[in-house]
Amino acid sequence: MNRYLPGLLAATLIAGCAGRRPASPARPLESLLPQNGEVAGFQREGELSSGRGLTGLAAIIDGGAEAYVKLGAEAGVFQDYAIEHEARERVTVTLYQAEDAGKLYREIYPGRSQSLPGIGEEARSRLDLFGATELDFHQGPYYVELVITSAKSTAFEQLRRFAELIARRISSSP
Amino acid sequence: MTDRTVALTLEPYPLRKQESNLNRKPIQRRDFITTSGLAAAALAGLGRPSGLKAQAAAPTTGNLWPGRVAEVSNPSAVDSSGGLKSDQVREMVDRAVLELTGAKSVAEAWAKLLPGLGPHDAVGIKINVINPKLPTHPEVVAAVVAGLKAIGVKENNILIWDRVGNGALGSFPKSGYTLNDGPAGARCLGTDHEKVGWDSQVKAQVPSVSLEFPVSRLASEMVKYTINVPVLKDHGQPGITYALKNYYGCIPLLDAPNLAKIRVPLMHTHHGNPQIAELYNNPVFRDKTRLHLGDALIISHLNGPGGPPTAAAYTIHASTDPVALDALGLEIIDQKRKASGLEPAAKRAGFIEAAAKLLLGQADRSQMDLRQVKLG
Repeated sequence: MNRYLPGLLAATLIAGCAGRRPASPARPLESLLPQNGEVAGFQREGELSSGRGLTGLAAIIDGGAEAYVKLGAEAGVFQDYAIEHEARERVTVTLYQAEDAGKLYREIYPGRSQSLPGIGEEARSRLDLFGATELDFHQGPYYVELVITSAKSTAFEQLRRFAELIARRISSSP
Repeated sequence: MTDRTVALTLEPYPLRKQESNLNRKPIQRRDFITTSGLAAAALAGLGRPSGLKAQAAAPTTGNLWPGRVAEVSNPSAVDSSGGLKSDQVREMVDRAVLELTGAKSVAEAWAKLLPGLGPHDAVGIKINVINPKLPTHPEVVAAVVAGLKAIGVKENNILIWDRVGNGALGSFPKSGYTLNDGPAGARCLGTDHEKVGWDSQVKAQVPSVSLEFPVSRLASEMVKYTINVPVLKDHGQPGITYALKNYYGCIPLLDAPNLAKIRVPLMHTHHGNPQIAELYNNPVFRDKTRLHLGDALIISHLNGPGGPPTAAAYTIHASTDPVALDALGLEIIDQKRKASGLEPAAKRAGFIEAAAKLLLGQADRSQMDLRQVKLG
C-alpha cells in the first residue's frame, strides 16, 4: 500500500469538509470592502477575488491557505487598491469570515506587534516587516488584514483609514 | 521603492511566429515526450507508485556542478525603504555567475551555462510573481536578460514567465513587470496566455501521491533552456519556498476547481515532502534548467508565502544545484526566525533531504563548494 495513502485520504477529506461548510455571512463579504474613492486617494486595482474552503482560499492566497483554514477561516475576499499619483505603492485588503475570528487573529501571526486600541475588537500593527506596513484586526465573525507596500511614515495612517471604514461597515451590518 | 518596472513593449504580435521557430527542433521535443513516455511506462510496470522508489535517481544534465553555490551579498544594493539599486543588483548577478562558472567574462559565464544555443533558440526565465508584495525582483531579472543578450540570445527569444499573467494568483504588472507578447523586447507572460497553455504531451509525475500533471509549454516546447529565478520566502507547509518549490508554478495545480480540491492538499500534505522533490525530478525540469539564480535580497521569514517582506538578506545565490540553494535559503530563513523567537522552518523542510536522496543535489553544507563574495 502506498505509504502516503492515509495522508492522501486525510487531505482529500479536509478539502471536502472545507468546501461543505454552509457558512452564510450576514452580508456578502465584498460589500464590506471600500468602493472606489471611498478612502480618498485610493482606487480599486484589478478585480475582486473571493474564495471559500481550502481550495477557494488557495486560489486567492495559494500556499498560505491551509494555515488560515486550520485556524477556522471559512471564506475570504481579496482586493488591491492603487494610490493615485503613486504607482509603486498599493494597499491590499484581505477579509476573512471565520468560525472564531479572534482565534484566527491571535494565532495566525507569531511575530512582534503593537496593539492598536479603537479599531474593531482587537487590532495591531505588525512590526516584523521590511519596506511594508501592515495592520490587522478582528470584529464579529470577520478577520481583516491590510498591507501597504510602503514603509513611509504616512503609510500607517492610510491603513488606519481603510480599517476604520471597514470596521464601521461591519458594525452596521445586520 | 525604486522604479522596478522592466521596460518592455506591448505591440500586438502573434506568438505563432516564435512557435514556428521553435518547432524546427522536433528532436528536442521528441526527446522529452519519449522520456516522459518511458517514465510513464516504467510506472505502469511498477503498478501503483510507492514513495521515492517510483522515480529512480537519475543523473541530471542540468546540474553541472553539484554542491557548488556562489553567494554574493551586498547590503548597499537595498535601501531602507525596500528599494533596490539596479546597478548594484546587476553587479551582484554578474559576479555570481562568474564565481559559479569560473569564467573570465560575464558572456563566457553565460555561454558555459547555456551551451549550444542556436540563433532561434529561446530561453525561459521562470520567476515568481504569485505574491506581488514580494515577487522575484525585476532588477534581478533585468540582469539575467542582459547576460543572455551578451551571448547573443535575441531579446524577443527571452521568455519571462510564471503561471498567471495578471490575476488573483500572480500578477506581472503589480510585481513591477510589463506584460509583453510583442515582437520586440523580452517577452513577459503567464501560462494562462491564450497562446501558451499546458503541454498535454509532456507530463510531470509525482509518484508518492499518484499525480501526473501537464506542464507549462513555457517550460517544455517553447524554450531550449530554463533559468529559475525564485524569491526566498518562508512557507507554512514546506518551511520555505525557493528553488525547488518554484516549480509548482509550472503545473496547473489550481486551474480546474474540482481537480484542485484534490491536487492542492495532496501536493502540500506531509509538508510537500517528497512531492516538491519529485516534481523537480522530471526531465523537463531537472535537465532543462541550467541555472538557479536565487533572489534573497528581500525575503519573508514569517507569514509567507503570501505576506509582505519581513527582512532583507541582501543576497543573490547562483547554482546549478537547486538542493544546495534551498539548503542555504533555509539557513537564512531560520537565522531570521531564531532572531524573532520563532520555531525553525527546518522542521518542515524535509523535501530538501528528499531531493538529495533523488540525487538532485547536495543538501549537506559541509559537502558544498560555497563561494562567498561580499560587495558594497
